[in-house]
Formats: sequence, C-alpha cells, structure tokens
Amino acid sequence: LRGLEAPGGVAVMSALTGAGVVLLGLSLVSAVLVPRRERPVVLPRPSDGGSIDARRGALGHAAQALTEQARGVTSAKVRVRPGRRSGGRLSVRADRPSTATPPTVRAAVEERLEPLTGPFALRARVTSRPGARGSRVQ
Amino acid sequence: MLRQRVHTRTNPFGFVGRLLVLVLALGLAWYGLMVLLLSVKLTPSTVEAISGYRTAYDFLAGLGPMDFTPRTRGILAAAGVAAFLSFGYLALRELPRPYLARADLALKVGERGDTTVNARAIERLAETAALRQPGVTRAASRYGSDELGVDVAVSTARELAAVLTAVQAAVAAALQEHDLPVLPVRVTLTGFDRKHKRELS
Repeated sequence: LRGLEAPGGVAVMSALTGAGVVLLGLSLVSAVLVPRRERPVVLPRPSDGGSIDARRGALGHAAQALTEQARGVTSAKVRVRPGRRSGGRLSVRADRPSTATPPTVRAAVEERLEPLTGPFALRARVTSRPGARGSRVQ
Repeated sequence: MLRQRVHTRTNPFGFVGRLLVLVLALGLAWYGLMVLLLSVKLTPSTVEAISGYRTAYDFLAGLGPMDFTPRTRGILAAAGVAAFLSFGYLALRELPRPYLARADLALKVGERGDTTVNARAIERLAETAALRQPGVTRAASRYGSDELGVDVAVSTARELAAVLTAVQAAVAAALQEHDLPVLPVRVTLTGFDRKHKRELS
C-alpha cells in the first residue's frame, strides 16, 4: 500500500490495473442488466393459436416508409420501443420544409402511421424540425 | 417423443446468480476506482474515509494463527464447503443451454413401420404458404415440436398487420390441408424490403 500511495512504477501499474478492474466491473454490470434477447412488438389479440410479432428494426423501417409518404415530410427517423407485454411506442422525428407547420406535419404523420399504430397498439410521438437546405418533398 | 429442449424455463436460482454477479461487479468497479484514486495521489485519508481500505487491510494483515481456534476453523471449513456447493450450483445454472436439434414429426407408429414427416418438409410447406401471400418477399420457417415459427419480410407497410395475419392463417390452412397436426403458428416480421424510396399512394 505504501508503494501504491508513493510516486513511482508501482503507482503507474496500479493505476492501469485499477482502470482495467473498473472496466471489467462495469462490463459485468452491463452483462447482468442489459437484456439478452431482443423484445419484439407483439400484435395484440392474434387469431386462433400462435402469435404474431415484429422485430423493432423491421417495424421501424415500415414506419419510416409510411412517415415519408406524409404530406410535408422530406425525411424521417423512427425508433420503436416495445412495451412490456404488448404495444409500445414509436418515436418519429420528421424533417419538414419551411412552408409546413409542425402541427400539420404531426397530424399528417399520425394519420399515415395509423395502419401500424392501430393494430400493434403503438403510441406515436411525432416531432418535426426544418429539413436541411435543398431537401424537398418527393 | 419428449420435447428436445434442454432448458426452456427461467430458473428461479438464475436471479440469485445474477444478483451475486452484480454485487461482485459493483465491488470490482468500486475498489478498482479506489486503487485508481490512490495511484493518482488522492489523499489516502479521503480514500480510507469512503472505502475503508486501510481498515480492511490492517484487519486481514493482523490475523495470526492464534486467531483461529478449532471451532473457528470448523465453522470456516463448513462455510467454505457450503459456499463451494451453492456457488458451484449457481454457476452451473448460469451456463447457456441453447435449443437442441429439431425433430421429425411422427405421424404414425405401427408394428410394420413408422410414418414420419421430415422437419424440413413442414418448414418448406410453411414457407411456400407464406410466400403465396401478397406483399411477402421472404419467408423462413422453423419447426419446433410444439410450435411452428415463420419469419417473414414484407414489402408493404400499409397492410402490414393484415399481411402477417394472413400468413398465419395460410400456414395453418396449409398444415390442415396436408393432414398434418395444426400447431400454433408464430409469425415474426423480420424484415421490410423497400423497393422504392417512396410508396406511391
């Protein structure tokens, strides 16, 4: 302990070892706490027998495709967060031209997302921001 | 035939094992940080105040043979054996035991022979039924002894839920049509194939 508390080679080695042990501990904590399996978004009330669900990425891509069809949206990013048992949340960030207002874009996006949010019991949270200069609605 | 799965349910002791790992990990991170603080020359009295490292070290360094009476040694030995057994059991429960092989479906077992359906044949049947649905671009199936999983990719977003429901119904109908036992069908959307940047409405 005296070698550790005094300046010198022992202190340098101890600093490196301490940093390594901290990293090891934190990686173990994350291994214990982070879920091992991806949680899918479950379609409530499936037909007889079995179940229907969707992976977050695939559902997010579908939601992005629908969002970009909405009037006044130039591009969009979508994140899907599944609920504990069923349903979940869709976080949509849409880029809009300067001529469109946020409430109209939000309403248009929510309407477009209805085929997904309805059956999958998803709550959509839509935000919009002015798109990059030169971006346009296709 | 017994279900060929080694470990399907979450063991209640798994939680205890993970809790122990969490405590160990937090202890490692905490005392690693203390070593780091000491080596970057933070005042030892401050580190001692927040971690008690010197007190613990002095206590352990001060232990001698006279501190261990025969009774203490017995208690320590019993505790060591108990710790070895319990921690060893918890470590065994934490070993990953993945799904084993899928089995063929035994349709008829008789004196003159058995009739079985290969698992791949059932999976192919499900994939074909799924691919017949409009909007489905890819399908991959996996037959389990108590469930038939079908992973699909679709190209339409607007009728997504309807397509998935139709796939489930079509697979169940295909099983029935071929006189196979109707298993619960689990349909999972695993991909979205976007042909164009925009879908024309």
